[in-house]
Amino acid sequence: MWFPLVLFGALVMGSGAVCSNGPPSTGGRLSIVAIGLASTDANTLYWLIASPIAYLAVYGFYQWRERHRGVGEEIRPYLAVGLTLALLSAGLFLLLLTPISSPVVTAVGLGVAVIAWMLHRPLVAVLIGALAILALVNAFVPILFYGHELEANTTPVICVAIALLVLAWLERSLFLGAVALTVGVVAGLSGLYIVDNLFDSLPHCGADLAGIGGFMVACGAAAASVEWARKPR
Amino acid sequence: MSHPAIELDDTVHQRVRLGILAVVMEARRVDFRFLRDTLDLTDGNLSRHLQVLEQAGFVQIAKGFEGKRPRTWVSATRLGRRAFDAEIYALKDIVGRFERGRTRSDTVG
Repeated sequence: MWFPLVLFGALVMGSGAVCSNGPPSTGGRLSIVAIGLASTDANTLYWLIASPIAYLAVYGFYQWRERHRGVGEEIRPYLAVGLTLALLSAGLFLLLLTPISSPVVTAVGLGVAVIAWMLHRPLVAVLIGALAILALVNAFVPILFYGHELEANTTPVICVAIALLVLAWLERSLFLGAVALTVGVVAGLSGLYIVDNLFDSLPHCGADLAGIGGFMVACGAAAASVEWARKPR
Repeated sequence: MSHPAIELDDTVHQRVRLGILAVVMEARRVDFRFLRDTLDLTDGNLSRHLQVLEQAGFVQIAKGFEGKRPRTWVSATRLGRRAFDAEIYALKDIVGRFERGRTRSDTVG
């Protein structure tokens, strides 16, 4: 579990460097297309490119560990959910140029939640469902209340959190589940955090992402050190 | 009313085979050496029990080479997973029945 946490933590931290802060410039007009165009930013491209590479790296790491240890862990559902969410979230944003990605992320997330429910994992289902709905709220509440997106940068982080919840379920790790849930909730609420945006002052978007990413890296490092300590000599 | 012990499957219930399935169920596939070391068995003993499980259709065994090193991977089949789940449910039933009986006798006593 530590490798995906550290890797995606580093990516979240990196996304802070390319995130846009505050409402996009729509030239005084407010239309969904204008908002979408303005939001097709470096952050979306960043996640579109980084996510497949990161999931490939995770797959490679687990393959290497399988050969090394002699135990193959089942992570295919994690990779499938993570890649689907990442590509749909960023890809649809770029292709359709509208903030349609969040409803799609929510739909996919709810689908995964239903599958978890059918597999008799009600807690996992409820948590994934809640994060999926938070992704929708995160994207649309600012538009409904303020007429524009305040920050469109945390949906990819919620996607990462949903995928990590699936991994926590597969690895039966309460620790990873708690970290994933914290990351998802903080990312969702941080996207709705409006005080700075209302005053249009502090560039807190990068700081938020650096904080969330740093937390993930720290938790990953802690998990790695525990795993190292438990390793038979 | 029948006792839940009737549901126990002899093929799965044997100590070593239950151990093999328990380990394999937690992973996508497991190496022969890992199984042997984890369950503290000899090569011959493990092979014999794996053969029984394979004949019952509960595990799948894949033999191959990694470089020059022979490697045997064991994975649970769908049938094996179902059989293991049924075994666990039966064991839980037995424990539950026993616990309920003990509580009743404690209260009466």
